[in-house]
Amino acid sequence: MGNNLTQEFYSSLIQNSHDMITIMDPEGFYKYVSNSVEQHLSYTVTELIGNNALHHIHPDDLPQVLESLHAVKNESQIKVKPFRYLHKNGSWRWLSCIATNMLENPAIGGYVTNSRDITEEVETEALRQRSEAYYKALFFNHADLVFTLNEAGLIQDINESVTRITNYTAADVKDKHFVNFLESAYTEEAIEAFRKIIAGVAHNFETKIVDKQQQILDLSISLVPVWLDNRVTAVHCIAKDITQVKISEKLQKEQTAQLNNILGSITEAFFALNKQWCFTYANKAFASYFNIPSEHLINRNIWQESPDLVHSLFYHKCLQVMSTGVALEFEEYIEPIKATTHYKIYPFVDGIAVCFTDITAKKAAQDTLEKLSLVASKTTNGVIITDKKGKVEWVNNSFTLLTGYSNAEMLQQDPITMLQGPETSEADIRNLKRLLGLGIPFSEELLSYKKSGEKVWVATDITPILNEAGTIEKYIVIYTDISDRKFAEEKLLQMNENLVMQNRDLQQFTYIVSHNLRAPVANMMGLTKILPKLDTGGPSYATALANLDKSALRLDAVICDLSKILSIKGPDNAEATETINLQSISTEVIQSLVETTIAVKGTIEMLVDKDIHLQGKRAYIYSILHNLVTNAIKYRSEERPLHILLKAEQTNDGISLQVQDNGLGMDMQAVDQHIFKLYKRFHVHTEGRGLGLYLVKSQVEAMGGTINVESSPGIGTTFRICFKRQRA
Amino acid sequence: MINRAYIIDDDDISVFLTSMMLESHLFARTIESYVNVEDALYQLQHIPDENLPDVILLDLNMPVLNGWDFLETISQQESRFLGRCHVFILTSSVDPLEKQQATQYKLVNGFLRKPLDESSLAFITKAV
Repeated sequence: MGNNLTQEFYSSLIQNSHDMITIMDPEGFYKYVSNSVEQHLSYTVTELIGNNALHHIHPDDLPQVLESLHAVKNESQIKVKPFRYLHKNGSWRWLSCIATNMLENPAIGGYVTNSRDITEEVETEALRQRSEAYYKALFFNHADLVFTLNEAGLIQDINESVTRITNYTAADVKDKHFVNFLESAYTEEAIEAFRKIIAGVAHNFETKIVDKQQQILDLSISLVPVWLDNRVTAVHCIAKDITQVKISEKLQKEQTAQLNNILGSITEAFFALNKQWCFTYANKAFASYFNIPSEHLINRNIWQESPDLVHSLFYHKCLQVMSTGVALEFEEYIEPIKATTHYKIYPFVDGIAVCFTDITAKKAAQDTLEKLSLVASKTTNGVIITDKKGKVEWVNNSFTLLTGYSNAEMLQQDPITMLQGPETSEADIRNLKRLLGLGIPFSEELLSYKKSGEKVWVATDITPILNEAGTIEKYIVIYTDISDRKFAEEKLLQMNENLVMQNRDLQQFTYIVSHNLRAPVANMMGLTKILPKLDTGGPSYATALANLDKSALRLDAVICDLSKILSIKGPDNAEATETINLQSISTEVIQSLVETTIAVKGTIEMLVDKDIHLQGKRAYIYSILHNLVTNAIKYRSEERPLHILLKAEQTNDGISLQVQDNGLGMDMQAVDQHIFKLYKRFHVHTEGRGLGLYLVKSQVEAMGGTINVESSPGIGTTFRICFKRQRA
Repeated sequence: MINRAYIIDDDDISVFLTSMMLESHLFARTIESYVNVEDALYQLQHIPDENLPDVILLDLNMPVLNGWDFLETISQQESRFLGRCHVFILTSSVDPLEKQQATQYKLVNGFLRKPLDESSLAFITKAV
């Protein structure tokens, strides 16, 4: 430019300049202000001239502006740091200012300031700085793992969290492809997710990675595309470590399943209600009891589902538990389903839980049991209830009356041990124990003992009580005193035995008697038939006649025998006994035979205490001793002088009578079966009809005694008679 | 007329009667009577076969050894006696059980009731 430019030119240039130009003295008072001030700060030129510029400076910026004002004294020109200047409307405007020292120029005589409003630039910059801080905060200080991938999938940057959680440093991962860090099974899924984000679709997905320590981590990753020039050039990844969440999720799932299993497997029906009375749970047993799938009930209000329940005791108890928080249980009969139910209601944080069991059957069983126990306690039979091992749990009053043992005495005892005694049959006990093991009801009769030691025959009806599995739970024993019957039975048995014996005797008797009765009769018949044919003067006639006479006598003898036998065997012979002194009766018998004894040159020795007495029939004892002594004389041996020993003694069992001789003797093997039989004879060459020993035996037995014989041919014979100790 | 007959019976009157009957009917050339079984058995053991009796009249009820004992003993030599000696039981009373028991012995040819009469004799004659 040339020096020919006019003052107007300069003046106009300044007045129309966009910059605000002022001239101020060193104290800051305006000497000149360009028109553009009004345009930027709304002050008119006249408003500012003569005023101090420092009054419009923001107090925070004032020190710095003063410093610049001070500094420009010694400089020709300085750039003042941006500062805030008060706009006429009260707002602050950021100004950038260059101050030029023109004090030395007389035409100016002050500092020239050249200012520009840079408010917009300052604010934009502040915004930019804030954004960057935000970004940095977001990226680097994020608690989650944040990393950036380029469009090829190579890791570009990671934040601290990545290092903290995975132990990989930035150097470890920089420019490595992300698949290097994935758990291999998740690779494909992750590549698919990456493709999707490159296509521009922001999304989340879960995957597993392997950290530097080879631990597997669960990550939930949000992918954000970074757009540049209409294409995705990078991907921001924000990953949450959800390993713990996954573990607890899994754990929770398992626990829930387990809890469901447990609740479901409870055989009691079970359900839970929340505080709004809605079902939150119902187990299988509940569902099957009411035949409603439990899913149908969940979140349904119980009182709306079953309005009738509102009138039940159950309803009131539920309210009570819900309000008091105290668990309770009770029973209720429910009319519509005709069942008695046992309820247990428990409170818990979110509501109440209800367990219930249909106890109708149990209740009925209990009623039956009560009735039974009433019967058992009132019956006149003894009743014992034992546990499965046979130990007494209970006995009734009648048992105590029957045995003398109280319930307390029997408790936990083995009744078999308690009730058996010396005469109880071992075989019966063994059999009883065997039957007990079979688990079937049975009856046994056995001899038992009262507490007093008294014998008592009992019938035991034993019923094992089995549980559902079929094993024995208890035994019920009905104990009946059958002594009267049993003793009568024993007596009957004894009587029967006697009868059989007597009947056998009788048969033999009948046979023998008929035979022996008929023998003389047959002879007489024969003789009378031949007599007329014989010559009356001949010897045969006389013999026949004599034989006829003999036959008649024999017939008479047999009939006499018969009457003797019948008098012993007669019906009322057991009665009318007397006390017999054995010494005196023995003496009497010996006396009656003394002549015969002397005639055969024999001796009779008597060994009988004078105190021995026998209860019986005197005539029988006489007959017995007489017969035996007579037999001894009759069957004496010709080879030696006859000696007879008559002995009576008291033994442990009773009284023993003995007649011993040194006569012919008998071969016991041949005679044993027959010796006491009627009309049996064992000696050919002697007198005797075979009646004596039969009578002896009959008489001994009629008095309740027994007789036996020992004999050897050529040595002698001994008869022994025993009368068992007679009852007082 | 048969050659020889035995009467085995302990009852002397019965023996007298039976032998009278046999004699009066000329039943046998020789009649031997035994009052006990032992003697009869002894005799039978000690005679030659040609002297054996054609008929034995046997009582059952006897002392020591009875008629059954006799039958038991001779049955042990059954072949010696069979067809040669005809045993007839002659007893005072007939017990059906005894009659039944007697059929077990092949040597027994009849069971007769005392006293021996004409019809019994006819039965024996016919059987022999």
